[in-house]
Parts: sequence; C-alpha cells; structure tokens
Amino acid sequence: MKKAYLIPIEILGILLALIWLSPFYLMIVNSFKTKKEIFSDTLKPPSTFSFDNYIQAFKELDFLRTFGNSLLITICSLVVIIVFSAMAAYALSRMKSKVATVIFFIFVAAMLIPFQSVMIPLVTIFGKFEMLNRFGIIIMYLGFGTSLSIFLYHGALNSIPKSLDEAATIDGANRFQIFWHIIFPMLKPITVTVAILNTIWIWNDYLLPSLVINQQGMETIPLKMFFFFGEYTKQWHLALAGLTLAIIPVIVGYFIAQREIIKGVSEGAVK
Amino acid sequence: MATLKLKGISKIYDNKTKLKAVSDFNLDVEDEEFIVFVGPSGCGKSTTLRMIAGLEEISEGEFLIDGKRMNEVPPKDRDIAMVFQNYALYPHLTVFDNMAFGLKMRKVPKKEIEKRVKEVAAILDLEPYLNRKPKALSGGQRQRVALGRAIARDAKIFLMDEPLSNLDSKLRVQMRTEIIKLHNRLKPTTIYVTHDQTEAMTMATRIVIMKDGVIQQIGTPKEVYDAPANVFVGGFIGSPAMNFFTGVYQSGSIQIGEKTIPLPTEFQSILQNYNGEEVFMGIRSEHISNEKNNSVSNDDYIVETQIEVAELTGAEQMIYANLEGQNFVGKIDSAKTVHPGDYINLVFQLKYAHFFDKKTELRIN
Repeated sequence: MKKAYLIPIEILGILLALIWLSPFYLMIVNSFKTKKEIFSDTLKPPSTFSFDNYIQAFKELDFLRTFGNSLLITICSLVVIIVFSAMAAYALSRMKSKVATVIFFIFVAAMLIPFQSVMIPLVTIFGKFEMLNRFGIIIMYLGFGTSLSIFLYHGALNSIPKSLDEAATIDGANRFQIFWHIIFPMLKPITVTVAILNTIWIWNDYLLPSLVINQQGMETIPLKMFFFFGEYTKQWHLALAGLTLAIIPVIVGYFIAQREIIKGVSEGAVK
Repeated sequence: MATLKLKGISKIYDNKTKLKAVSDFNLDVEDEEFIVFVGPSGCGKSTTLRMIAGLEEISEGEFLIDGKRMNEVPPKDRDIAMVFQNYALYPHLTVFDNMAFGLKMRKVPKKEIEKRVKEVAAILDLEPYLNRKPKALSGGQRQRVALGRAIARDAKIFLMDEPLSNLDSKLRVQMRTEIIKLHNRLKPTTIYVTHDQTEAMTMATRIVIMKDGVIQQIGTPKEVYDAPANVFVGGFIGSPAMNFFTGVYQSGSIQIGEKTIPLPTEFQSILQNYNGEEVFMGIRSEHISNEKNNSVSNDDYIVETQIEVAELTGAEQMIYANLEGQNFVGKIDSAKTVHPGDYINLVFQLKYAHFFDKKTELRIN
C-alpha cells in the first residue's frame, strides 16, 4: 500500500518532470512545422509530419562534418583533461612539499578567473603561434578544464591510502605502473564525474570555438547553428530541426553508456 | 633465504632539529629467523621496518642483505615482500589479481603466475574466493590475501607491519598460529612489527624491544622475559607487567618503607656496590602467590596484606594490593575464595627478583 504522504510528492515529481521536458516538447514539435506555422501557434502539434526541415537542416549544417568536428574536439579535450588532471593531481597529492601545496592552490585559484578576462590575450597569443585551429582549441580546453578536474581528483586521491602505493612499489611497479594499474582504476567515479562535467561544457561551448575555429569546415555544432539566426531573419524551423539532430547522438550515447556511468558513480566506495 | 645486517641505522626526519626517530640501530638477522620489533607507539619500530623495505630513506648507517649494501637499492630490487597493517589490497582487483600483481610486474609467465597463485590460495584456504574482490571478504580473509600476496612473490624476506592489529582478538590468535605455521613451512627470514608483547613472545625467535627510537634489548623471548635489561623491558614484556618496588639495599636485605626484607644470599655479591643506595626491585606477579602446602622455601618472604581488588581470570586470580604504599599484582589459585578487603598472606619468591639501578634503570647483574 502506498503511503498517503507520498502522493503529493509524486505529483510534484511529475510536474517537475513535465516542466523539465517542456523545452524538448517545443523543440521536437516545432521542428516538424513550417516557419509560418511556428509563429501562428507554438504549442499545438504540427498539421503534417514532414522531415523536410530535417533534410534541409542536415544539408545546411553539413551535419556529418560539423558533428564530427564537435565529437573530435570534445573527445580529444576530454582525454587530455582526464589524463593530465589525474596524473597532476596524483603527483600533487603524494608530494608533501610546500611547492606542491602552492601549485595546487594556483590551480584552484585559476577556477576563479573569468574566461572573458583572458580571452583576447589568449587568442592573440595562440594566433601568433598559428594555433587557432582544432589542435589549439583542445590545448585551450585542457588549460581551462584542468583546474576543476585537478581539484576533484585531488580530493579523491587523498582518500586513497598511501600504503597502496607502497604495496605496489614493493610488488615491483614503477610510478607510472602504480598510477595506471592501481590508482587510476580506483578513480573511476571521479573520472566519470569529470567526463560528464567537461562533456556538457565543451559540447555546448560557443564562445571559445567562435574565437578560435570560426572557419569554413572546422565549425562545431553550436557555431554552425548560428547560421540559422541571421540579422533579419531567424529560421526557427530549421534551427529546431538542427538542434534535435544535434542532441540525438548525445542521448543515444548516454543510453549506451548509462550503465557504465551509474556503475562508475555508485562504485565510489574506496575502502 | 637471506641474512640482514643493520649497522648504526638512524632516521632523521627534520634536518633542523636533528631529532632521531630511530637512533643507532644495530642488528644482525640470521637466515630463517623470525624477528619481532616490539615497543609502544612512536618508538620507531615501523620506521625501521620501512627503512628495511626501502620505503623510507636511511639517514645514517648501512643496511645489508646477504652482505650487499642496500641503502640506495629501490624496494623492488631488494627481494622483499611486505604485509601492511591495513592490508593494502587493491580494491578494484580480484583476490587472484591481487596475489598475481607482483608477479605480473616482474614479468613472470602467465602459466607460472596461475600455478603459483593457486598453490598459495590452497595453502591459505582462499581457493573459493579467487574471483572475489576484497570488499566481499571478511577481515580474516583479507588478511590471508595480504599474506598470500607476499607468499606468492616467493621473496627472500618477509616484512610485516602490525598485520593482525585490525582483527578481533579471537581471529588474531588464530592468524598468529597460522603465521607461525607458515613460517615453519616456508622459512623466509621475517621481520614482524607489533606493539603487542604477547604476539612478540609467542611468535619470535628473537625480540627487539624498542623505546624512543633506541633498542632496549635484543634476545629470545625467554631471555627478555627472564632477564630484562632495564626497567622498561621488565615493565613492557609480560602480562601483567612486572611489579617494581623502590627500596634501599642494606647489607643483605632491602628496606621497603618500614619493612626490612632479607634477600637470598646470591644477591649479596650482585648488590654489594649498592649498599645504602636506593634500587628498584622487580618481581613478576607469578612469583607473588598465596601460601601453598610445603612450598615455602627459606628464600621466600611472607607478608600479610589487604586485598584491594581480586580478578578471576579462570585458572588463576589476580590480586591487587600494596606493600608499604607501593602497588603490586600477585597471582593466587582460583580455588581460594577471596574478597576485596580480606587479609591474605602472600609469598614473595625473592630468588626470582630482579634489581635495577635507580638512576640508569639498568639491570644490576
């Protein structure tokens, strides 16, 4: 039997879910309408289901290439952020010198610097080195992403007893082997958290790509999406279809990795 | 297997204060020995073990394995295996992989690894758990995996850092026996660190007693029990601790408060230089007992005392009382019914007494 006091909570839950899902409803429903139809009534379902918008958006976005760019930049950035942050945090957590503490605090303090305050000099410097390309943006994401990631990894590493490192040392492992065979697998829950946080940020980022890789053929999805919003006309029907296309791979990816993600997070108990 | 030599080993953590965590540690360990380092927390026993393992740098002195200097040799090349207090099992690996890790790192062929791990698992009754992760094991089983990991390596030297201190008392006794059996079977040179004197007494071939980073005494369990080198060793080894009385030696007898206690004649020559001086007299509780029929000899001293507390431990009873204001513990038969406040005649078997210099606290021989 259900307890009575749970019913209002359930109703609240359903309401919240509906509010949360409403943008998806608007996006999907309107992506099937013509531009005129969208403006006449935004909420009602489309009169006819036609994939014309999708086909057109797919072509105009040069979807496969754009999606590929986004995927490449996100995955590469993620890999370097995870690898470098985890290794740096490991070194910082195991070195008990004052220098290590100072370096750690510099990393943490860097989280407070607003991106807007450094973006102009950053782009100028990278421009001088001819690095305003996909490689350059990955390096930038590494720079901006490591602070928070090191902070998260550092906290988790402090709870891993040093005797594990020592046991592995005596077992004959060198520093790298200890890290890759023993420590890094134990950091899986944090790695999942770091991956999720950085994916959301990098996948959706507009400002940095607009400054660094705003060239034909290199654009990411958020950049390319802006072609639908001209100075005088906004092609909502195409934009919404494009957005739907863009989130499908992310949702599919999430469902494939869902089990791993939840397992990773719940396995967090480092004993 | 291996011999160890520690020559004047010291550990200095802070170069400014020059405070020594371990000071001038000298020890020769023979092949197949089971050496136990024992002492209170912070006495430097774990630090010494860690220096042997190579986990801590040796600040001064020389450490040799089989005659070869090891000071600069990294831990992996010292051919040692170590069991840690908190087991230090790799939580994401199965029992099998935990035991195989050291072998994998040493590039032992896969078949050989499997054979060795299975052999060790059989010795330690771990076969049913090989595919489990440490999380799914009980404390005793985890301890066995930690031991197994060391055994599988087939190292020359075993180092154990308080391996039983996380177990409950029953399991501790059981594992103690298992470790002794394993040592008898595999005969590795072993160094075992503990703060528990019972473990030291029951397991060691030789005990190293430490305090404040300094060795107090090295000897077999019997030697350190029967002839403690100083007051600290006397008080630390044995349970309950040795009783100490302060008294003045006066030609053949010792004056404790108002009481003059005649000593057996053999002590007269030993104590001749202490005439008129204060000394410590140590006597173990088993040498203070109740009067038994015909068991009292001429050397014994009988004193009537009031019982403060009586504790029945099973086969015997502990009697807490005092002699001229100095507390002591005696052991009497459990058959005798006594109550706190009762008066009882206690026999001090003075031929088992130990005497220590009041100033240096060293044994007077």
